[in-house]
Amino acid sequence: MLAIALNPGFVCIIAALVALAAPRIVRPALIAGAAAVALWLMLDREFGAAMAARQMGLPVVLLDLDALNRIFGIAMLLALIVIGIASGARRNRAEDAAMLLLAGGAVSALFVGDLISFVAAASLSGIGAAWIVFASPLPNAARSGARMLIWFGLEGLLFLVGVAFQLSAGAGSSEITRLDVATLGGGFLFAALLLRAGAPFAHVWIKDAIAHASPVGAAALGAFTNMLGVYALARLFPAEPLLAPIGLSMIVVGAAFAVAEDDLRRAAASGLTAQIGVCVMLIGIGSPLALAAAEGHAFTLMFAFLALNLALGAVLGRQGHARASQMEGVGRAMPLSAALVFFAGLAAAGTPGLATYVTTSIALEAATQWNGAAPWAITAGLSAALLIALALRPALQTYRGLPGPTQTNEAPFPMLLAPALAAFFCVSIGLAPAWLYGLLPTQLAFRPYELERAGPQLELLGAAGAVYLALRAVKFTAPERSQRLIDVDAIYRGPAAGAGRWVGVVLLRAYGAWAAQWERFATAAGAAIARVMRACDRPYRAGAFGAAQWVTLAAALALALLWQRL
Amino acid sequence: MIKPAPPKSRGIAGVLFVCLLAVATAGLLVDVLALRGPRFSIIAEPGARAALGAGVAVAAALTGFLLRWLLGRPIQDEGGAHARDRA
Repeated sequence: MLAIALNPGFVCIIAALVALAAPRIVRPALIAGAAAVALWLMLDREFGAAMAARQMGLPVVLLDLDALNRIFGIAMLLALIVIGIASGARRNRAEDAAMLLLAGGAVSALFVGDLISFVAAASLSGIGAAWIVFASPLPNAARSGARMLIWFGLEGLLFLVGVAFQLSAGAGSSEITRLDVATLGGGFLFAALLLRAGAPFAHVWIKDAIAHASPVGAAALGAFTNMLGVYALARLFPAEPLLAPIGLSMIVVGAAFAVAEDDLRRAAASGLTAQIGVCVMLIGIGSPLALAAAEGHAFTLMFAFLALNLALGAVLGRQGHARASQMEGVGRAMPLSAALVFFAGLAAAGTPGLATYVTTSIALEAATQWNGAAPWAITAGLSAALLIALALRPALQTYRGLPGPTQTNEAPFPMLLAPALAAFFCVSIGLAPAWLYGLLPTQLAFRPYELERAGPQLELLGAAGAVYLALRAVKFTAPERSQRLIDVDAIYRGPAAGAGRWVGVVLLRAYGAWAAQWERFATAAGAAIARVMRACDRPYRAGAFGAAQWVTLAAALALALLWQRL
Repeated sequence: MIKPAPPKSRGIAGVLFVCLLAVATAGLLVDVLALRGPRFSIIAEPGARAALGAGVAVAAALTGFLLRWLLGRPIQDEGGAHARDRA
């Protein structure tokens, strides 16, 4: 068979260029087709490096396939097929190209085998992500896109400095291998990857971007942006002890915002941050079981949150918002979309029978290997918190009837088919997890549906849900109100931005005063020079200059006489 | 005479509550009755998951109050109509 040694991500990047010129009817097929071709290119190859070359003495490995990047590649490319289907629901050429560029950059970054190519591909995916936000029709999307560009610019700077320090240690150090956080290069790369994964303080960019992206764009951002960070952390910093507490703090912060946000798309983004925190914590634990759990969990999260973002996007597309406080009656107006939102919420929470449960149960098993019971309890408690945030709260609001008849206004067919397909992946992996376990880099014999595992998970979710509903019945939960929660981004969007504007105004005024003074000085100097020049043009005019000439001539004459005497 | 509007329905809260209670009870029974060796921590003992779930629910309710009180800001109209489909 003909083996083509091409990085699968390049197919999507080429398709992004084609999408700019393709008519609307072709673009969904182009997106799905590019993903299918890339999938074929990946699955058709044996493990190992290909397309290796040397440039300026540095190794450039454009394709290096192994079990770790294969599992992420399969998930991303299947997600791209689903997104391609959803993209048929609307007309947005720029966003189609941006999504292909984002996916192409992310998939390319998975399969390259040297740091320079990785940084280039990751930065390309960052540009694609910002372009998706810029292409969104939502209000304030351009501002959000600009903020995203700043985040990715900072990440790119950290990447470049890190790679430069790595290269200074020798050409061989640009190969992708385990790095040490204690070195300068490793430290900068670690910081860049934490930023990409959405670690605390950098968790705001994904919320901001998803809340301002279009319905389909938000799904693409959730699938391709911080998942690349998870992959790179697993590749470059496995068993790094710092990652475990960072992951735990991501879980806590993400879960807290998920249960309190009114905008369900922001809540979904916070839930994604929390679940990615589980992956980051597991990478930090670093045992073979924990690493397998992290990789498998990232795989299943991609489908659960793809379904959730698309289903919420379907509601946004018809209602103009996806706010819990304003979703009463949506269950009657959009019965299929509301059902998909509820189902996807259950999937994101790790309900038994669905994909995230089979990896959450491995994660819990791996968490027992770390210090104390707190990490285990926080990981287990996350399922309960996400059940409340992403399944119960939306369901309680959407199925709450408004008085009077409601006209059915269901989402377009592609926006129903795409989340349904993602939900199908959740069910199929959840019911038959053996094929997922077979894809993992670590051999795994794990039975998630043993009674001693499935029973307690049902107990946890059932108790959490029942107690929350009881609290809600006695009005001990915060009323659903149209509100926006500020986060750490309020610092740079509020006081920091205000201080920046103030400094800018002061600097502009100082510059204006300096420029005015300079103009005055230049005018005076110019006038003086002009006077001299005019005087030079009239050398025989009576006046000081005439007298000076006579004095000079007399002095020259006196000097000549004196010279003759001597 | 103005006829009062019918009250808003409670939706599926009741059905959900019954289902979740049934699931919790079934899970608790399995957890208590399942025969297995010593567990790694007290948090994994029979019934501890139910307590953890209840604790998370209370924490979620309190967090909702706290975060909205501390960090909640009113929303200016951002023209959500722009988000509607433009096929």
